[in-house]
Amino acid sequence: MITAAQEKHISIAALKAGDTEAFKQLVEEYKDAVVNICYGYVQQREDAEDLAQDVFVEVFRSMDKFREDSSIYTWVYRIATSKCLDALRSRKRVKRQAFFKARQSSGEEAPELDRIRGGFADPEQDLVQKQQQEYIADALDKLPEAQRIAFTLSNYQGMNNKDIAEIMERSAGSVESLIHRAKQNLRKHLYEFYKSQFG
Amino acid sequence: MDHEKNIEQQTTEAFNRLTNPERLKASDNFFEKVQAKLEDTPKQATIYSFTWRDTMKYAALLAIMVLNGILLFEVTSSDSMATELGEEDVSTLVDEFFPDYYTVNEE
Repeated sequence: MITAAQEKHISIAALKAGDTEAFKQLVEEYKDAVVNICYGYVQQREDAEDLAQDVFVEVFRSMDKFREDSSIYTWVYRIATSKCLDALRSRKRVKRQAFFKARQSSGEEAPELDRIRGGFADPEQDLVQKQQQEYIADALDKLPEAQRIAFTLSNYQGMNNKDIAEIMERSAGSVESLIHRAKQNLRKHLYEFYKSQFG
Repeated sequence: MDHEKNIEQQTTEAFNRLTNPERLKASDNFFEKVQAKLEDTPKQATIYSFTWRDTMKYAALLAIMVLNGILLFEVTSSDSMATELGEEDVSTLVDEFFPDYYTVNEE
């Protein structure tokens, strides 16, 4: 997590002036965090990296709109969340089953499974893992937007409730409740998926 | 019972994987890719940078407004002409069917 001390090293005036070095510093400080947030939404490594790049393009383009009433950290994360939700909405137009089937039939493995594949030489185990990944993505998609945002920031970025509350403009108590309900719903959805599979 | 146990087990495994995700790292040339995208992405439109599509769009809108204006003018002009004709017709009818009309009114 970015500390206030680290943030002080980033010159807002230089960023607003379009200074490349200042922007590079911002990108280097936040890139891992933004990639992980994006991964929490899109569940694909390559897509997460691509989306994270789009986030920073948006950050650069709208730097003059930054009002300094919040920290840069909060502002970048808000843009990241907004971009991710936009990406999910446009992705929902493409059927998820077709997406996964296309990748499987082309022989292309889902990148995030590369780290798992090394331990499993068994094709059946691969299939189980792929299915698990699909169910996880579907369960996340079923969450209401507010729950998803809170859960993603907490789970994929390790943020505390206070920081999430600042980003979402809610109370810390509300965030805690959202995360709790998100976990309950995720577990319920996963159970339903597996129940429908095993009958 | 085994079925249910199996479902619970699978659910727990998936949930644990979900709540303990891998922490990713951005690629080494991440900033260069961002810069490349900044150069590729078209800048926001200003009043001086209309694209051809925007120009055609506004030209079509202007043409419609002009046509509407012409149509309105034509309709209102023909209405006033019709009124004049109407008055003549009324006078003819009055002379024909009520010859004593003006004599009565003069009294």
